[in-house]
Amino acid sequence: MCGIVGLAGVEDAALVRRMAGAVAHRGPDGEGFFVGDGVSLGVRRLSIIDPAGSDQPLRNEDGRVLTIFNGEVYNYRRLRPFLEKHGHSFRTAGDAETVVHLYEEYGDAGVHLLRGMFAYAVWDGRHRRLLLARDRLGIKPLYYVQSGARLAFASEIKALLAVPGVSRELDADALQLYLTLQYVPGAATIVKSIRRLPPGHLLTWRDGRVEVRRYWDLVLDEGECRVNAATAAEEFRGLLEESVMDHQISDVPLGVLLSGGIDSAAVTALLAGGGRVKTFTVGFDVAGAEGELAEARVVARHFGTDHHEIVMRPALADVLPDIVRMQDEPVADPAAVPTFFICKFASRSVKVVLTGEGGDELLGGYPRYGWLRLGERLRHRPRLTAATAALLRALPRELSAGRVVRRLDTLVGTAPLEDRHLDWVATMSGDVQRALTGDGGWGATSGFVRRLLHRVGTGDPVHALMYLDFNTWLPDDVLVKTDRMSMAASIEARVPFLDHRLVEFTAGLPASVKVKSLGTKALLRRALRRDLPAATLRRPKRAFLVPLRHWLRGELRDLVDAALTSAAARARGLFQPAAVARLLHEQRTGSHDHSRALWTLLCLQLWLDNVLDAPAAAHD
Amino acid sequence: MRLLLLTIDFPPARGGVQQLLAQLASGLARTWQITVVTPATPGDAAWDAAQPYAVIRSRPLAGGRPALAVLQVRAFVELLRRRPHVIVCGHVLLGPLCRLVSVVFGVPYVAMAYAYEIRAPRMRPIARLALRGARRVVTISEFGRRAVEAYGIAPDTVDVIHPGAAVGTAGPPAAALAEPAEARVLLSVGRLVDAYKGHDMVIRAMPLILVREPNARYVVVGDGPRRQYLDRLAASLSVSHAVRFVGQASDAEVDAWYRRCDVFVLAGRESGVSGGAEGYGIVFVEANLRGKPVVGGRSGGIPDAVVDGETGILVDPLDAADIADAITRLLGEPGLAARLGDAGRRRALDELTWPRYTERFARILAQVAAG
Repeated sequence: MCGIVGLAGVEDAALVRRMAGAVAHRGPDGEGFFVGDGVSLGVRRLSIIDPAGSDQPLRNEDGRVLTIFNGEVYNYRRLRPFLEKHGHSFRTAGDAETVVHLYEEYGDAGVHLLRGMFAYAVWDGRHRRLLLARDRLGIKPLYYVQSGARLAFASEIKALLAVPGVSRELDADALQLYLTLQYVPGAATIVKSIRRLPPGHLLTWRDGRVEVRRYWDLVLDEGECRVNAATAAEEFRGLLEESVMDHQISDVPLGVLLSGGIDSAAVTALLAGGGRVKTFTVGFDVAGAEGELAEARVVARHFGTDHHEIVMRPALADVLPDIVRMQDEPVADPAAVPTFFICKFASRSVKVVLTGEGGDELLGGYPRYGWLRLGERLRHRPRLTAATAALLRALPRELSAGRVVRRLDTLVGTAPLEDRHLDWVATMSGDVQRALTGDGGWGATSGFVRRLLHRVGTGDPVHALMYLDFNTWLPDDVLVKTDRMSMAASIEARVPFLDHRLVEFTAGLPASVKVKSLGTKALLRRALRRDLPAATLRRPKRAFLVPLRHWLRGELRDLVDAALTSAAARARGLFQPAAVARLLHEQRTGSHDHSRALWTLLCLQLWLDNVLDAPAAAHD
Repeated sequence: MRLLLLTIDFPPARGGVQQLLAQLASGLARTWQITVVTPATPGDAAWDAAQPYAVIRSRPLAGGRPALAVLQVRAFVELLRRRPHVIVCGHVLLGPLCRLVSVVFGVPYVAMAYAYEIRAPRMRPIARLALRGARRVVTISEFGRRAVEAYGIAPDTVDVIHPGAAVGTAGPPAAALAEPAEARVLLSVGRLVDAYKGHDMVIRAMPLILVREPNARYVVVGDGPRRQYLDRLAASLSVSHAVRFVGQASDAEVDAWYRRCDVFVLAGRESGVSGGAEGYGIVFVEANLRGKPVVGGRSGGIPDAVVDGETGILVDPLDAADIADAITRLLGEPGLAARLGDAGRRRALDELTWPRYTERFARILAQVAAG
């Protein structure tokens, strides 16, 4: 686990050191540089496998091919003898060196043989060619800036902002996407000049020419067509167990972040075979919203883990700017806050944590999958939907604002799938967004979502939505949060549900095996029905409930007011001051709940203040 | 001596088991008086008329009665009419009937076992019943033998006889296949139904193969519900340009593809859960017959069909690098490819012929008939 940075077409030792300094938290255990051949590469290393060896950059036998690497290759012990058979000799005992030799053996296609999470750069001095690669699912980050014939890349945006001449102009479309979704999806970032290398993509640079291409995509289709639910569950369990085993490879202590939900419980169950596991759970000091402490305790007791709990009692207003800065990109996911605290807490006793991240996306854990499929089916029953719509319209106004009624309204409406989807996930209504920015509303986001939904090529709405989540929400929100918050604590988070073989198998199962009517995770519940406590199996899906409204009314109230109405915010002029004031007022009086909208605005403003507009020298 | 052959699968329906039983029946017809009882299938009248033995077809009743039940009733009637000395049970689903007859009337039976049908968990009770009542069990590979012995069957009553292979209808010239002359063709032949055939792993190996051999083309002959998935898989790995789905092909077309290919490959794997696996892999021998080297997944009965290092190369069916390595070696070393192909052809011509299969089977039947 590390941070990598580099420049192609530039030899600048001081600059690459400064860039590496901006990601120092990702690798406190060491650093390494290569400057020459017209390139500059730098790395900060957190040692997990082969702590004593494996200093980067790693080189091939003649020293002309070298790599800097962030992540873990879980199958390196299998790849090694294979490469040795082909005449390669290894100098280290670590996983990263396989990347160099795989490149020698298969060129860019070597990436197909890696199992794990990674972002790496290979400099091929023989052909004066740079290769950047990012793992299939986007677990590890990689950003780049192209400026003429030069290329700068880094694990985090902060390192790219340290490069002189990189424009800090915001991307207007990305801003609209951010406001609707709470993150910027796809290849763009909020900063116009900075691009994200999307998951499953390669970038090559040679003589100043850049080419980006896809090497992997998720195929949600019925590959296992003659499968029934029972055999699918059994095979799934076998693959998950194998993945959890592989994810234990480590030369340092390891634990599990236990949420109380079924995913992290499954990881704990499959890990429990090998000795006493350390588990960690975070809760809140808010009456009625304590989080998942009780549920996690059930799991911990069932497996007799070495369980640790922490209750957040932070001075949130003091910590939040730090969290936003460590998050690197503006991602207004409130779950980042507890994730930050649990990672800090776990880092006192372990250096690696396994999490249940990805389970919801892989197994259909979100209730909206089932509901939106129902909606698509109702389209073929126009009389029924018309009657329901009429009934809903006849309701008195006071009754029509409730959640259930709004859901039903979405279901029987005529809006296309992308807008129904946004209705479920958006941070703010199209009207609020239009009032804030003076244009747009959901327009940009709706178009973006529509294009992705059409790319999936399957008729099943559940699969279409899963494809969408795998290409947006998962890599650009969930995994950003997981990577940055764990790195902020200098620990490594691993996500066994996102082993690509497990993902490919599960994606190849009929949607009906994964999502049964309106229930969630039918497959996982079945696969682990003999392993997990009954209470955990029965527990319906609950969003990770962060007491956002409570915070905004209490300890964060002054910070929100100050940040959103500050001179800096007004000077930037992204939002109509009157619309902002109205949101704040309505929140204060309690007439409306704008918690998520305000949180989205707050995170953006804190990011502007602490990352984009902060002097570059401030990033040590 | 009279022999009754009961089977669910029989020509003109296509498939490996169908072909095997037809070859067996016509091979034995010289010394045995044979009656085959099997379900009706389109085009059966013309086919049956050309055979040197009697074929009784059970026709499904109106009202959608289960075809299997109808077949069993018909088989029972024929048993009473023909009073055979031995029964060959072509599928374990017909085993309970055979066992009943052997207990009540004392007519012994030889059970055929392939692999998948006795490994599937839902088939276990019926397979146990069928296998334990058989005087002898004949299977197609050592893998099949292990599956049979797992039911507690005494090893000395189990025989492995490798199926034969023969070149049937000669195909059109290679030009008809519309592949450029420089294309290096990797060929798979098989229905696209079950995941265990491993087409997906060959597609996953394509990016690696193309690094070494940019003219490599993977030609998939056969059709089925998995085709769309495999097609999309190729697209997801950006190798669509190098993968061609031919669909279902006639015997003549398949012959042409066998002759055109550089390497035949089927990276079959075992599914631990559903029991799915290649019981033998007659397609390997068919490719060998045309002098082609083969690459097979080390799983199921494939090691019986492919002699590693002699007629082909066995690979780890879950390891794309291993698959790519074997294929690129054969494409890059013409001497090796020719040596394996020649040895495969000799083995197919000398050892794996239908007359030899029938001969061994006949010996077993004679022993059974003699009590």
